[in-house]
Amino acid sequence: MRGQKEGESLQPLGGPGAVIVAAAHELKTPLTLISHISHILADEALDLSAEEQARYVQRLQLVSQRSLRLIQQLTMSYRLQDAAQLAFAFALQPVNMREVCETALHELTPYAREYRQELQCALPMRPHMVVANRDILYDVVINLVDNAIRHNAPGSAVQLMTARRADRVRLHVHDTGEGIAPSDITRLRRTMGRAPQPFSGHGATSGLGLYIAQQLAGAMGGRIGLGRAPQGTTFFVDLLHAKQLSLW
Amino acid sequence: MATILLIEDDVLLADCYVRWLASAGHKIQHVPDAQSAINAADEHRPDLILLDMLLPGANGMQVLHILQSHADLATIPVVVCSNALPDPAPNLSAYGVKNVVNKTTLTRPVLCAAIAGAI
Repeated sequence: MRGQKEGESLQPLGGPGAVIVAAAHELKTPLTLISHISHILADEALDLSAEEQARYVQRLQLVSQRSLRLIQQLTMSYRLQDAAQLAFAFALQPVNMREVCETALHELTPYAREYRQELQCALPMRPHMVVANRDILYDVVINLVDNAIRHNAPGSAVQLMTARRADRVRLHVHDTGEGIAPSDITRLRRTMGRAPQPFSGHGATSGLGLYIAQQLAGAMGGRIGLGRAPQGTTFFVDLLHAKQLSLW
Repeated sequence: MATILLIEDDVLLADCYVRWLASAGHKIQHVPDAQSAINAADEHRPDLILLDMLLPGANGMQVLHILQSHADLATIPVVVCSNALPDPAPNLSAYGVKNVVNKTTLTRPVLCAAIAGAI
């Protein structure tokens, strides 16, 4: 059937080629958007008001930032696969999960607003401390929230919650979008982190963001997982609870 | 000028197409997924459907199948707008597709010409 041909480009591939194919796919939409907005800004026939021009320029900046973030995270993810580099790349220390989440949400709020999304942070006032590298944890949170924003229905919210489970702290990132097809959930749970895994129900997703998030979380001794939700999708990241207080 | 049902899951891309098509005098209704598209096509009977292929849930090809399975919807001309079609693009005329445009290289004149050629 012809219709399956388009989907074939999203089928899981093995080996390093999977990451390249997924990255190419993930960058297509933001680059297309940058191209379209550039044409709109240069098109005198559209007679944009100053306010409209400013809005499109802001969109250009947000979409460019997102593309650069993806490239930076891909590079980081690749470097973390090298055990020799990993040992020297970063130090793990107690990190305040709430502070990281609030900072990440602050950065993503303008982007979420463009997608008509609200970001909600329901983390306890008494912070959950985790064993992590702050910069890498920040990238993981940005990645999961960005993923939720793009696959949520306009006018809805992305929620962040944490829960302490034994020696672990779990951060939930929940969206109320269409959710993932049941047929894909088992496969995703089984293979997450091995290679980018495309799945249905989340539009044109290649699964690259989750793959990167798993690589980054794994480097901190954590893991990404797919939770249960009556509506929408919940991804979580588990990290070791830190008993020592953070200095900041 | 025409009433156009735009099926596109990315709201920022959709905004670009609405801007381009509105400048040509078209009236646009935007929906983000296949189910909303079928409902809107059934309720409003647009003059043309502008269809993205990769959608949440059912994809664009399934939308084409559903449209073709209803005699009163099968006659609505469709323009496919996608960044994931094989090269060369498949012949989708049997599914009511009048034109196929490549999203990655799309501009306002190209889109407006594809719409004008399909109505």
